[in-house]
Amino acid sequence: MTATGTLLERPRTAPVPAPDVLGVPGRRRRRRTHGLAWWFAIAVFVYLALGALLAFHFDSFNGDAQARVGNAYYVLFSRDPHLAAIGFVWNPLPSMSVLPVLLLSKVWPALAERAFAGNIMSAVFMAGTVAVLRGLLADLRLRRTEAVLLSLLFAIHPMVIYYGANGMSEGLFLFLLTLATRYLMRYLESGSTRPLIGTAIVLGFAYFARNEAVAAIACVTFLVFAVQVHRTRGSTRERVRAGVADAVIVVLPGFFAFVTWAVASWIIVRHPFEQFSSQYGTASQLGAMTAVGFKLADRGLAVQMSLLMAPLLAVVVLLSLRRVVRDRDLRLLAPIALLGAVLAFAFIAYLAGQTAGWFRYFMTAAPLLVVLTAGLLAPAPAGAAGHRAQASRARTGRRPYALLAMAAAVLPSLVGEGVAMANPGIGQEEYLHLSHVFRPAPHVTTDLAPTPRARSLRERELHPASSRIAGSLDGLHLPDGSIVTDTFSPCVPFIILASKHPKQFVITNDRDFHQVLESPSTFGARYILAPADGTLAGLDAVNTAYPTLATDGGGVVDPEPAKAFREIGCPAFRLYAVQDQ
Amino acid sequence: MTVDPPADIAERRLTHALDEVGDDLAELEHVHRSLQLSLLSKLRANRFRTGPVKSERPMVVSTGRDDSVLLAEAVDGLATRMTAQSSKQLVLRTHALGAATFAAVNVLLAVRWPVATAIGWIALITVVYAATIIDRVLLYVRSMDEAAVDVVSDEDARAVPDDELPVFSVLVPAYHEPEVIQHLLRAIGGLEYPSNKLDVKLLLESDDEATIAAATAVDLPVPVDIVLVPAAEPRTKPKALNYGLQLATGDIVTVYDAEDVPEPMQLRRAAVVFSRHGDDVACIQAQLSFANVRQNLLTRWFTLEYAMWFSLFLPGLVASGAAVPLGGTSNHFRRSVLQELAAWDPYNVTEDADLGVRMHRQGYRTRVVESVTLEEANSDFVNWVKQRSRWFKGYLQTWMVHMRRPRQLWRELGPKGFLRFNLFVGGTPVLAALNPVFWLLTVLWFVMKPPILHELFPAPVFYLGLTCWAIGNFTIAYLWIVATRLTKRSDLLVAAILAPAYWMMMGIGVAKAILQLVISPSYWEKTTHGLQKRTPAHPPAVSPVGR
Repeated sequence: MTATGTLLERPRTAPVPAPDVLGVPGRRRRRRTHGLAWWFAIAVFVYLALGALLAFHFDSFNGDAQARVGNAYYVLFSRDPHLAAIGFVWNPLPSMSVLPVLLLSKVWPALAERAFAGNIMSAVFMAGTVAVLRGLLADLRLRRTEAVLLSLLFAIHPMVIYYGANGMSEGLFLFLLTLATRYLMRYLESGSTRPLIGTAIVLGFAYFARNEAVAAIACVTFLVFAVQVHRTRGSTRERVRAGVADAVIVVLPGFFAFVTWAVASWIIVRHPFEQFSSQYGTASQLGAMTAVGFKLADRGLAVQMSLLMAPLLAVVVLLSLRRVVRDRDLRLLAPIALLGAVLAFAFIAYLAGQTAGWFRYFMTAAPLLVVLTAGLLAPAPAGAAGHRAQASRARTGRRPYALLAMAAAVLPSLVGEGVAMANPGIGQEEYLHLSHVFRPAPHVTTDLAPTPRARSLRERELHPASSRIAGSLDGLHLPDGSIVTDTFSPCVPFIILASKHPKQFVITNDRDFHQVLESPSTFGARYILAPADGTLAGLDAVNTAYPTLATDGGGVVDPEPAKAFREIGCPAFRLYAVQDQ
Repeated sequence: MTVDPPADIAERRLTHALDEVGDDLAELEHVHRSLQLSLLSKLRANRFRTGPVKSERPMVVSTGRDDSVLLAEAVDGLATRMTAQSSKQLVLRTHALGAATFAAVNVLLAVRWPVATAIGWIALITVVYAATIIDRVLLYVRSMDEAAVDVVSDEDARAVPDDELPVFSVLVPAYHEPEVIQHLLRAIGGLEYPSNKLDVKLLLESDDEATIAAATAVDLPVPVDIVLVPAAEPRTKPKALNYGLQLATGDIVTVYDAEDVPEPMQLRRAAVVFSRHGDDVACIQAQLSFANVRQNLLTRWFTLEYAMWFSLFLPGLVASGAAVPLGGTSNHFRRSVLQELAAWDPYNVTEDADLGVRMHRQGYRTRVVESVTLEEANSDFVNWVKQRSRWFKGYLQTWMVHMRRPRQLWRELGPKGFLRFNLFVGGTPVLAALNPVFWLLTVLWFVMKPPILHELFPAPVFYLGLTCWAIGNFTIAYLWIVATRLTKRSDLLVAAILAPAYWMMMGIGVAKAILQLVISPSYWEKTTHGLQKRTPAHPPAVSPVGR
């Protein structure tokens, strides 16, 4: 070689890291975990321990939780195991996330029998929410003690503890929403792609968890568009183009989730929006609930619920908006657009008579309050304008008032939630499932007056009653596909979960359910199990198909039941013998 | 008379200062002279031993060596020295036998148990499909790593003193392209690199008089040698490159196409990237894009595809330590490594991708530098299909060559690299062909619900297949849309949204390539011989099954 390439013979220098154009600057260089694993582990332990107490000691089960575990169970262990058995009345993610746990139910039957798989799911995701929140507070560059205090205050919200323990899907939904909020805040701060995709994908999953995600997706899409137009430099055309691009990126996964679920639902049950309009969908349930005296579209109740969930939320939101405008700190728009949208949706949908007035629907107020409180006390981001922002960055010294302010903002929520949960008129579900936990009483043996307290005591009998019914049915030693029943009816999921022989049931989730129901004897079914009365008995598929079952047998069964179960805690089930045609 | 002391002092100081300036000047002159000398000597040293003194015009150089020896090495160097890595004879007898046996067994199975065999194949394809999509997403994520692309700032690139820069031999093969010659040579002239460190070789076929005439007619700021490659088969770009390589003198060998417009600082940046890494980095790939983006929808798609390919997937491969199929131009090699590996395979139609894999197998690494070379996108549908089918065919060729000894490949690439090679190089063309078939089946299912489909897709396969189909197509569509942001091309958003139509076109291209392979295996040779027009570059397509 004739030329000398001295550059190539130089001692190697360490590769220079490229500037991080995609993430928050410097984020990857100092990867601190803020003990998230510990937060997660401890929270899982606490919520799960409480969940175990509820499930094994107090027999406190929420009907929706057991139904979701049931749906997952039918996918694996029913007479007709198939994925679509997960059902279309509810969005599928909560049941899907229980599936892997349920695989172990043959080793530990309580996972199914007491729907404990659900408690595991809710504890894991609620703990995940706590960890995500802790990380989010770290992103806000709060001082450590402040972040720890706030995370702790969130983790001990009575509603957070209860829904972390009880197997409901709230934990999963809050987990996805806070995670999306964390990504969105990063995006608003850095404008980079990775957190934008993160927001988008997590929101897509959120739709698979709960319908309310649609509100968040819509609001976030609009926010992303507006922010991107606002901060892109160039001609109007270029700015709008950049805004549209980001909006498309953030909305697509959610849109895809929406379309996929609708199409799947349409293919399998011939209706795209089963969760709203089916026989069991929200609309029918609301009808049934009105019939038994639930307050629907009650403005006073809506205000009460949102106030008790987070009494100081309105104040904190207003202060946050002031800060957004004053310091150009866009990050605080993330929780408002995302968690706030879901909260607003709950409020409006309830007032419009579209949803039940469950206290838990207002639960996003809790993380919203915590995140905004943190945002108000956090130093302004590096890019924020204005002398106040600079002053706020300069204020990094010790500031005990911050801890006080946090406590003042959040503590009223803890009290408010406690009050609501103890009030059967507001925390209806919570009272129903917790009253007998906090004020135990002897087992009820006779029917009581229809007071909330009495309903709670009856509710405690649901699981033992279901188990007895299951045992009684198992005692008939029937072959597969013998008993036709609708899993929507109260207690039925638990009967199947507790049965040693789940394949003896022909259930709504089976593909041939309607065929069998139409002509039970042709398909070898021997019995029909249906409630004679009860809150939602009118929605039962069997009763709908044969309204005169109890009087003339609808032409398929002997109207005189082979067995009548009068168990307190369950509807009065009757087992009708199928007549040979 | 009194002397004004300050004036006196000032005068003395001035004299002193002038003396000093004089000294400095003398010294400077000395430095200047020696520098000139060294420059001259280097300039001379850079030229061919037997080459004439440079003038302003490119000159046809005599190689001073036996043309037939050079030609033999260019054509058969790889085939003779590393027969196992050459695609001169693509299908060896043992492999042909194996393939025939495999096909026969499948036919027998298909006759005996048609449904079961079909299910088996569908299941296998679905699994591969899923794996490919997951792989693509992983690469995408990895591409966002800071270290995935080497970035050299203008200051860093200019900070290297000229005499420390390595010599670049720039090889520019051209054939029947008189109209782009002038344009290209200007682009080369626009390179911000000391001309005494440049050894530009324009590689022309000796019977291509029009191009030769055009090339010798232009004035240039940079000395350019014209190397006449003796007319011989195969008339491919890699052969010309192999020929030129033997005459190259630089430490680094760069390949540009005739119509390329490299970013002026590219060579400096590449030199700095080489200096930042160890000797195992043997190649630096620059990013390619197009000058004619807005010509039509096809050029927009193509631009976006290139943006994804060079800004996302190649960096993703780099960051995950996998073999990098090179793009056909704007790559910079260590000459020693090229020679060690017998350079390009003249019988492979994607010799660049193949070379990338061969380098990786020998433990050499490739990096991607942030520097764009502009090319001209194929704006015509028919041409595009031809080009695309050539690329896919080249990928299949490359896959077959390297899978001749799968165990050795496994040892050299490791299990992960082996899997990735199979998914990337072998799986891509096959799956690009299958994707339209899956779309068709899906439409068929919805429209007609033929019972045969129900039979062919038992529940597990059906769910996996449906999930793959839905999530896979969505994922890749989404990647296209995100790519508009990552590559700062939000002007291509509409094209990105319409990308599924582009995938259908890709299906046509790959179907053509595979048909050629299946129907007449001997067609390979004919292609090679019949390759009248060399392809400008072979960075492959971003297909719906990912890429």
